[in-house]
Amino acid sequence: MMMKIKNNLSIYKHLMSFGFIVLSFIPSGVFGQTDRPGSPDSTITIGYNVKTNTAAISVIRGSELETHATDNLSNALGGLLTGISAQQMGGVPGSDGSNLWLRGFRTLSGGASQPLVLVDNAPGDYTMLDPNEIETIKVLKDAASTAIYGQRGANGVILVTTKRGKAGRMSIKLDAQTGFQELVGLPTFLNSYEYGKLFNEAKFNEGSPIPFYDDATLAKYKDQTGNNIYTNPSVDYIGQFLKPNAPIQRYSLNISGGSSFAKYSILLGVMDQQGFYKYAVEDPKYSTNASSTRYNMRTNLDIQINKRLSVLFNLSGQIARNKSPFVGNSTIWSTIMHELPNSYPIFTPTGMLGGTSTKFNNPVGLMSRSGYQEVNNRNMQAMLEATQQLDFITKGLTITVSGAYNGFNTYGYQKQQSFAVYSVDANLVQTKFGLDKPLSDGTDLSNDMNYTTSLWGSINYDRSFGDHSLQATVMTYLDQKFIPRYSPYVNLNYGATLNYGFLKRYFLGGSLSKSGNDNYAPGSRFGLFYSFSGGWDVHKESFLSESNILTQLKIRSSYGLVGNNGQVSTQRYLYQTQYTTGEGYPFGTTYSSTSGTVESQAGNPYFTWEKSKQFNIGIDGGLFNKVYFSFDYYTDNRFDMLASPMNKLPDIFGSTLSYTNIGKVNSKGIEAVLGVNEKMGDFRLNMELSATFSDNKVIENGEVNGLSSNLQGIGKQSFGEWGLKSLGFFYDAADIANSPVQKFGTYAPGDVKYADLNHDGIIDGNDKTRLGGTGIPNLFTSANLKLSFKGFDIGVQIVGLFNREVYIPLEFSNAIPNGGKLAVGAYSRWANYTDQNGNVVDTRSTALYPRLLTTVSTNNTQNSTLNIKEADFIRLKNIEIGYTLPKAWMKAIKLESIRLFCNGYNLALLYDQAKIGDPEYPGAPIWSYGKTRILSFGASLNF
Amino acid sequence: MNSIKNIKWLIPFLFTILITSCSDFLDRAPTSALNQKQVFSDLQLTRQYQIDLYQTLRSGFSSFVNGDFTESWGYDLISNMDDYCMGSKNDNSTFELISGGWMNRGENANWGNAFEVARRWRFSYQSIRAINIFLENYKYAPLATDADRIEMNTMVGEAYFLRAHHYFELVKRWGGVPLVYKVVKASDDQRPPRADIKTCIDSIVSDCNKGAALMDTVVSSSQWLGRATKGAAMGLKARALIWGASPYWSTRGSGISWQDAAKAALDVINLNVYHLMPNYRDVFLKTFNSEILYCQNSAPKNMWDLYMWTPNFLGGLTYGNFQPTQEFVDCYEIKDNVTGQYVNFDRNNPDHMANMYNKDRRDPRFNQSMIYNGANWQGITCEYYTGGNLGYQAVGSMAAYFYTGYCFTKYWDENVLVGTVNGVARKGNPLLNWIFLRYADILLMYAEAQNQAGGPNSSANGSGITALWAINQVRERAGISDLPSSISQADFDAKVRNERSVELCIEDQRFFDVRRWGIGDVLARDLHKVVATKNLDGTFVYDFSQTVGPLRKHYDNPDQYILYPINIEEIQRNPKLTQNPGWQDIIRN
Repeated sequence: MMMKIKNNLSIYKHLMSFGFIVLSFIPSGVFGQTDRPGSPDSTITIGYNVKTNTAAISVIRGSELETHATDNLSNALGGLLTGISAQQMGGVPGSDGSNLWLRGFRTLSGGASQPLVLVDNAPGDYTMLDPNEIETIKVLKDAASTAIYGQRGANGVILVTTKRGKAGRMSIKLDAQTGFQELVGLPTFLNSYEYGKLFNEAKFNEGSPIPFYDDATLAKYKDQTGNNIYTNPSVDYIGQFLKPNAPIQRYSLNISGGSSFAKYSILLGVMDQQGFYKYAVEDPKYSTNASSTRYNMRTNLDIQINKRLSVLFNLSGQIARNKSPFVGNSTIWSTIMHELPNSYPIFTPTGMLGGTSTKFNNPVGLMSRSGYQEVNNRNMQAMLEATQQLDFITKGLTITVSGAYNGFNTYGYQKQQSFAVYSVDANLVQTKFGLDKPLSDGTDLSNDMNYTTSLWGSINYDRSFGDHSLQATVMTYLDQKFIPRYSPYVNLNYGATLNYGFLKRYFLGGSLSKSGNDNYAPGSRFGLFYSFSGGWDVHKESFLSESNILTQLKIRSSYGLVGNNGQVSTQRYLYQTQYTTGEGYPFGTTYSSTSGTVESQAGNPYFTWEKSKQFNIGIDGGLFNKVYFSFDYYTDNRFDMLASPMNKLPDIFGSTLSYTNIGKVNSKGIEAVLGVNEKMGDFRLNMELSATFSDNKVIENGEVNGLSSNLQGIGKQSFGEWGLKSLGFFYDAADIANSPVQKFGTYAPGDVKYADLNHDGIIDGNDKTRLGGTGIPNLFTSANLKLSFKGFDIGVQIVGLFNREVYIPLEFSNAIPNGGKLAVGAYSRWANYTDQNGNVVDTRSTALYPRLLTTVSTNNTQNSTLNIKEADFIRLKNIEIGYTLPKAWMKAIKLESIRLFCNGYNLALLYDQAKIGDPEYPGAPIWSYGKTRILSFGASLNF
Repeated sequence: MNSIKNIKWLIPFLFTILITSCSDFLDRAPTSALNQKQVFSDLQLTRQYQIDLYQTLRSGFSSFVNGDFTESWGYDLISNMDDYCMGSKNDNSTFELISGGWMNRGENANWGNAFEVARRWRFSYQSIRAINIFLENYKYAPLATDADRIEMNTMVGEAYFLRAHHYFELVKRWGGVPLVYKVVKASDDQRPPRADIKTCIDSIVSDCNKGAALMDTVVSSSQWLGRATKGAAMGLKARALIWGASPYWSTRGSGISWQDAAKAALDVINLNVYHLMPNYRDVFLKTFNSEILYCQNSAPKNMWDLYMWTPNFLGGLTYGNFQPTQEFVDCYEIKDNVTGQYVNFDRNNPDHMANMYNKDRRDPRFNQSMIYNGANWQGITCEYYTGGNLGYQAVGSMAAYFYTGYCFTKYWDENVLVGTVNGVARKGNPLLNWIFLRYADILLMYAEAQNQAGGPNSSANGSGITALWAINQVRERAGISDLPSSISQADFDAKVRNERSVELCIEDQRFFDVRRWGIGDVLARDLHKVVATKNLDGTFVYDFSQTVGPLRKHYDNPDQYILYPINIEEIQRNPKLTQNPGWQDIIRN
């Protein structure tokens, strides 16, 4: 509890400084007019042509995504859409997207927490789309908007709508941008001399008084001249093998237009992202660098067949080719992050690859002579939708039927090559190890496909009668995902919604859906979901309508039941009792089993989906026609969540039930937006601050009764690692003697000291507790500033993530016990000794890491607050500066407009609590691929 | 132009099709697994299901070999909670029970469940569930011919027998346990209380009777050797009844008399199906021999002999997990040098001591069951002394594993070559039976029960088969002298108890015998090893004063030597379970 309060205080402090940064951008006295989607007045259309005035929804336009130079759209959403929290895990070209949570993590640990994503109302992936393809992204947050999605709505819905043509003359837009990526958050490793000195200390700590590296050797490490670079090398792996930057470029051509009969929007896009491997072969036909090349194409057609019948046709595809050296990105990165600086020279005196009899991991070889692998992904989507006006039956009635296909194929192959390495001895004599082998024929790496078909239809009624307006929908939806070797995954929904308005001032909404999935028992596959909502446009009341101060005010609220059928494991049909081939039994005198049959799964006929009762109350308002604000409070009480029942189910049951619906979690949160729109002459400003706070508490998770309070999951946040609380390091032998015994292996002064959370006088696994959300913040904030003056425009985005923890890999300090090296963090180790020269080394009062050791100390490597650290941060996430050339010039060159721009993604950290690597995910370079900053410039031409 | 006009109904028409055709889309049965109906409507699958019920028989040749104790079948043996057999020094399971590990929490607060005792309980109920599924569903299998019907009867009988076996495994460890005689569903009450001991034994006897009525005395063909028979069910019944008649349970409401137990054992003797093997050693080396009532057919992969006790210079892996104590060795009788009769070994008798390892004087089963200093094994003379091939220095750090001065060889064939280990030819058993029940045990049960019921010279049902006759059958086969008919009832009982220890050593019997006799405190005494020192003249000095097993700790409460604790987590899951005596007050820390 105390920790929480302390955290909240620090958040407050950060927010203050954060607000200051943003406010300093606001010039005084300039105000403009709001043109935001989702302002209180508007009726928002969500899926299936459903309209609502009462739901909690965030919207952005595709144009706002264009300012982010990232290749993956999911990276742009965090900070642009209130309610979304994001965490980017790394920078692998082609798969560097972010994990997203809508209104935070609201399910049990390990549960399905991701929102439902629909592109043009059909299952799809928006992350690989070109930003120019996107018209809007809507985030449906409360039950009023998600209940219609039934079993899949509880985690929220992200609705992506692609761009359609508009009647009028042909418009051609060409976007070109090129730039480079830089690596961020890499550890700084010690050179051989520094490494050697601290290695000696580590050996000393283990009881070896004679230095492992003598002074003469250390001197050679320090003096990297002459033959020393071969006999006693000191290799800077990051500087030597990773380029300071790597290119990224994106081009797109968008043609749209049409007549009253037909409209079109056509897009062709290319995105190319290159890797950082300095020694990779960079031949266009044979490249071994990491790279991702993506082609996007889309044709969206609207055809008005007659006055009452319109048809929409979309055809789109994404082709991606992702390449890496044969050994894979993670091996390259792991080698760079682990190999000792003094292992071997990279090149021998004769220019051969260095190595030893046991080390064949020369990065030059890995990058250029291990071969390569290539994965080709093909995504294709097609959609056909027809809408018929039925005003010959009654005015305002329409009917829509839509069908879509979304196919995915992947094929990967690899070609292997091998290389010899040469060791160099003190006399520069070289010895060859391994063989040079040419590139082999390719072998398959991956080969898979799946496709999803979806169908939906809706009857919509939209009409006003005097003071009354009524919008109603009846719909049905079916999708089936086919993965060839499994039975298809099927969702089937029926739904109805109602949106009633009186005097454009009072609104009532309701929705009902009957939603089913094939994973449940016959007769129990469908569930009923519902929502009720209301809205009051207070500002339209006579007592406010004249106000010059409060220029907009609307209150809305909703309550409903939504489901989450996302599974905890890949096991399906848990309702069924299943039998399979058993071990059999070896009867007779020859030991050979007669085959048998056994019950492989005891069915649980009550197996069902997670349910969520969601309440939302929100207020949208405006001041002086310039300032707008929005505030939402929500609660989400979940039950029937999947958890293992085995702590509740006695053994006499005689079998296991993997998951039953016993879990309960209550979440609540706040979202706030404050924005200003200003306009004075040629000066325009939009500034928006937004914050998403979410918190949850486990009510029931199936855990054992009667655990000591630190071990209880109940009552705590539902996600995050379990670990010990570190109390620092044992100061001396007396400290050890006066502390409880620790049961994780031997320890000595300088090793990690843990808290006895259960007060039993013994430190063991029972002293663990929940260490808060790993990666996922409780508070996600953003500030977006847009300024324009004459032809100039500037956009700044800052995001702040608070109350979160991340895992800090030991590669940032001492990874020797795990086959790695030392980074600068090692200088913050605990030390207390007198060195050979009689100098006292005593870092006990400032140490951040335990004493150096060369072997694994199980005492020091326990999960604890030492390696799962609080990592709040504020990032200058994006800046774009543009200049639109004067109109007058355009006539001469017969162009509509030209805009030149430069932008930067992931630019700087304004605040960094942990200060170890990149706080978003410090392990990225260690475990996969470093995170990148992107700087690019470009031009946007309209013909 | 009509078609153009009607196009306005196209979309509503498509919508109607969509909404009416969707209903069956959710019916997607998995293709890989079978459901219950499919299994039990097919005779072959039903047969296969019944075959897998035999997987629930797990031998004392534990899965320890595979490095895990999951559902450890060999637990009781390995645990060596008896006084006559020590485990290896680093035997975790020993440590677990003795040190109170049954309630130790592990990582992630998953204490209790991972504990051996909890696994044994869980495995029994898993087995019982599998059997109950069969007994509830076999009737759906189509039976076309008389042969099918006979086969099904036999299979059902075997299932009843197997259920009785599992309940007895539970009862002998925990006393009264919850009785589950149907397949528990997710919707059922999963929290029944414990049944009392009388109800439990009655239920076991009832299943044995049902099984015996349906099964024949022999299996239908030699390919099915290993299946249960009528004799197995009758033998198990006798064992359950002698359990109930024994002092610990007869004084705690079992309601079973020695007469009941003796009659049940006599019924097995009167079957006239089982015969003692002429050679004691062959009982354990020859599979499916005439003495076995039921057994588990043990895989060669288990290499029980290899892992469990073989010194590595003999081709083993030196674990030496089973070591006879000196107390056990002292149980072997010795031929009196005057009378020629076999008498109790007396360490104060210089003649006994001088001839303790004399094959011609000591009960022949001693030499047939273990090696000792001077014994000959696989052509090698065993040197259990400092500097000898089995001495404390001879095998470096591994020496600690051979610390009592003896090593069991009872199940270990020294003539059959089965491979090499560490470059040494390994002799052992290509196939072993783990014997759950054998005829010698039946004879000793009868001897014990009938003596208690009417004395050494009485017989059950006026059969003329006396307790004395029964024990002497066993003694004669072993090659030692008969007990005299003049022996008193009390002396006879002591002789039966000793005979059981010797005859049935490391067969998982002593462990439970001390519990049913209620003499758990014998486990608390200090146990000893022998340390031999070789003199310069080649003679030996034997020191019997050293105790064994630094890990052998004693319980605080003598009740803890009788019944197992119920896993504390199981009690939390089912609060209706009451804890066993001696364990209630121990709260987890």
